[in-house]
Amino acid sequence: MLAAGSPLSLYYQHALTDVGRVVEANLGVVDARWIERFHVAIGMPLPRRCSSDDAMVAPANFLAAIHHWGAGPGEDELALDGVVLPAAAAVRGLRSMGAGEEMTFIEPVRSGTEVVLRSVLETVVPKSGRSGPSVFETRLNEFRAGDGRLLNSNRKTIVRRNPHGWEER
Amino acid sequence: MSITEQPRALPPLVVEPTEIQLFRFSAVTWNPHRVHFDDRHSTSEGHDGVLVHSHLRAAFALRCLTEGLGHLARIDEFSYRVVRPAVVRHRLEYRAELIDGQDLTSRWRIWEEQRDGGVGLQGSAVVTMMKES
Repeated sequence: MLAAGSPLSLYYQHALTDVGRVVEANLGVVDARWIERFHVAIGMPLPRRCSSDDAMVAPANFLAAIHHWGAGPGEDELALDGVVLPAAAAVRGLRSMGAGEEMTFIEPVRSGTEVVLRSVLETVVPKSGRSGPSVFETRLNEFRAGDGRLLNSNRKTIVRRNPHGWEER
Repeated sequence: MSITEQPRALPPLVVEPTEIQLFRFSAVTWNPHRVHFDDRHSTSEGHDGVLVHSHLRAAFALRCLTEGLGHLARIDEFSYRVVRPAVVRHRLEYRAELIDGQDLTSRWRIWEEQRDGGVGLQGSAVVTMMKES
């Protein structure tokens, strides 16, 4: 299904070794300015702060949408298209795109909340379709408050494809 | 608002994301993916221009729900599937239609209609109407 030696095949082999590996990270405290900027970026009016504690509530998919919480990797660690990939150098030119998501919202995310992420790559599946071969990877992210309360979770699917024009070579 | 009082369909949310909006979304989410800000790169990948982030499109779909149902609406679940890319400066229309519900909880079908009439994103959501405190 995946041509041997193709960038996608190389990526698939790397990704398989990550399946089931759990990563946990303390993402720090969500601040009000970040939430405000997210509102502006998605075209929503700024929310009023809660009268009881002056906190600001984030839009529902705020946590799920953040790509990097810390400084993020240096440019030389990114693939050609800017995406963070394992073994990026081996798969430069690979194309990535969000394919969908299932989100469950348990508790609103408020400014001042410490957030801990638990992330696991669940599946990596090669497919073949009209637009050529692809790899679908599904990752489960759980966002918890510092005291362990589950805030929300999302199961995200990303599709990877060979560099544009690769199949025509 | 109980399920019997809810509208069967919500007013569509119409947006036409600009390069500036995409840049700001990339910045606030710290997303360096070039398809969202580098036209030449995005075109080299076979797209018609820079692409709207799937998470931004999800945020538009959620806005359609929350703005249509009001501030007492609490989203419990939302799932979506991206059917095809959305390109900057193209008109996108987000629509929500009631599937069913009981008491204060309802299920909605949500989709993104692109300027050629095709569907770009489709999904569903579960919403609970909170009581005014």
